[in-house]
Amino acid sequence: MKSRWVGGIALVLILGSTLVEPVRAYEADPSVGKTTVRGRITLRGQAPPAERMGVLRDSAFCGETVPSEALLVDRPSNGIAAVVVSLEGVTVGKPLPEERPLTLENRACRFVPHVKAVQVGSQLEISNADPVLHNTHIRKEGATFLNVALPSGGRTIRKPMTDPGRLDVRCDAHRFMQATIHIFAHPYFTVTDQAGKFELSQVPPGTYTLRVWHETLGLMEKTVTVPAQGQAVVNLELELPN
Amino acid sequence: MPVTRLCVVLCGAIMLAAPAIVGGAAGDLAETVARGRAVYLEQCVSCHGVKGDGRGEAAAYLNPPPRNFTAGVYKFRSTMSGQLPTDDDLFRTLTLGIAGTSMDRYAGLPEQDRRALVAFLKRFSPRFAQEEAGTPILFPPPRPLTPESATRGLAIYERMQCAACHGDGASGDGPLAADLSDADGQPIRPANLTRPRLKGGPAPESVYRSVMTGLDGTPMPSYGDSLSPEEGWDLALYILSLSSPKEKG
Repeated sequence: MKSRWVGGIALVLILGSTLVEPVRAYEADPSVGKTTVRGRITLRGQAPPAERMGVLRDSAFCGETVPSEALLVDRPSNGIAAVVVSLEGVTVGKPLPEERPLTLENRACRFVPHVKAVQVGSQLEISNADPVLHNTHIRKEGATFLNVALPSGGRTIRKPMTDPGRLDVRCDAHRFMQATIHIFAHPYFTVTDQAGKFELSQVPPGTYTLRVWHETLGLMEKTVTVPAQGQAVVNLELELPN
Repeated sequence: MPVTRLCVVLCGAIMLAAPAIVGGAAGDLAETVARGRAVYLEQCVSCHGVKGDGRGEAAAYLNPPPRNFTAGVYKFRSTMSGQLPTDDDLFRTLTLGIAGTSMDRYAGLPEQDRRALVAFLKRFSPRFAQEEAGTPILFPPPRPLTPESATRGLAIYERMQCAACHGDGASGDGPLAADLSDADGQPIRPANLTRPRLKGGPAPESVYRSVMTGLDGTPMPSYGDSLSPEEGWDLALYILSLSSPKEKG
C-alpha cells in the first residue's frame, strides 16, 4: 500500500512538472456558438496614393515596377483589404475548418496570396510559375522557418505548418516580394475582403479580444463582448504610422 | 487481477525510479553545462560575448561578425532548412572552425570540453528547449567525380540557377550578388566557389550538406527538395572541382 501511495505521489509530481499548459487548448463543440461577429476595418483619414516599387533584377520579365500591396484601401469607403482579424480567448467553439493546403505561388514576381490566415497543421505548398529564379525565405520571429530555392520549372515544395504564429515570407532574389501567413490554433480568424469587411461565425457568448493585424498599420486589439445570439458589430479605424 | 496487481507494482516501481533517473541525468547535464560555461568563458567569450549574442569585445573588429547564439539560427547543419542543428553539427563546426573567418579550429580542446560547450551553447537560445531536434538528412555514398558527373554537375548548376548569385564562373559575382543581405539586414556576399577554403568545410560531405540544407540566416536556400541525392552529389562534386588545384591546372 505504501508503495502505491508513493507511486501515486510520484505520478502527480511527474505529471505536474511536465504537463502544465500555460494556454488552454482549444476544444471543438459545435453546439455552443450561435453569434456572428462582423464589422469593417477602415483607414482614418485620406488613403495615400497607390505605390509602385522599383524592380532591380529580372526587370525584363518582372517589369520596371510592380504595384505595392502593402496597403490596399477601397475607395470611397476607406475599407482596408488584407487585414487579419482574429478573436482570441475562445476555448470551446466551432470545429476547426477542414485542413486544406495553402498554395503560395511565385507569380509575376509577386507572392500569391499576399496575406493569408490558416489553421495550424495546414500544409504549405510553394511553387514558381515564373521563368526566373526565386527563393522563398520564410522567417518566424526572425529565425529561418524555411529557405528553399525555386528555380523556374522546379518542383512544388511542401512544408507542414505545425505551430501557431506569424510567418514572414520574402524572396532574397527580389527584395520587393513579400507575403505573410498567420497560423491559428482555433477557427476564429479571417482576412478582410476588398471592402475591409470581415465576419466570424458561430462564436459562443463571452468576452474576448478582437485582434487586428495589418502589415503596414500594425497590431490593434479591442475587447469585444459577444451575446448569446444574433450578432456583434465591431468597426475599427486604423491610422497610418507617423 | 494478477495483471492489475503486477501493473500496480511495476508502475509504482517505475514511478519511484523515474525521479531518481531524471534527477541523475539532470545532474549530469547540469555538470556538463557548467563545464561548458567555464570553457566558454575562457575560449569563446571575447568574440561571442557573455550573453552569447555575438557582441564580445573583439566583435567590432571581425568580419563576418561572430555568431549570435541567442537567435538559435545556424548556417552549417545536417538538418533541413529551418530546423535546429544536431549536437554533432555544432560539435563539427567547433572542431573544424570556419575557413575564411575568425572562427578558429578547436580540435585541440579535449573532446569532453567541446561536447560540454555544445551543451552550454544551446542554453543561449530558447529554441532548443521549445523545439524538437532536427533530423539529419540522409547521406547516400558519394558517386565518384568523373568527366560525366562533372558535366551533369555543371548542368545542375545551370538548371538550379546557382549563377544568379554565385556567377557563371562561380566566383561569387552573379547578378544578385551585390543585393543580398543576411537575417540581420547586413550585406552578405555569395561564396566564391573557386576558392579552396569553403566555409562549411573542405569535405565533399560538407559541400553536399550545404547544398541540400542551405545556410539558415543567409539567402543561400536549401536544394534538398529540388534535387535527388544523386543530383546533390553531382552538384557538390562539381563545386568542389572548381577549387581543386588539379582542375585549375
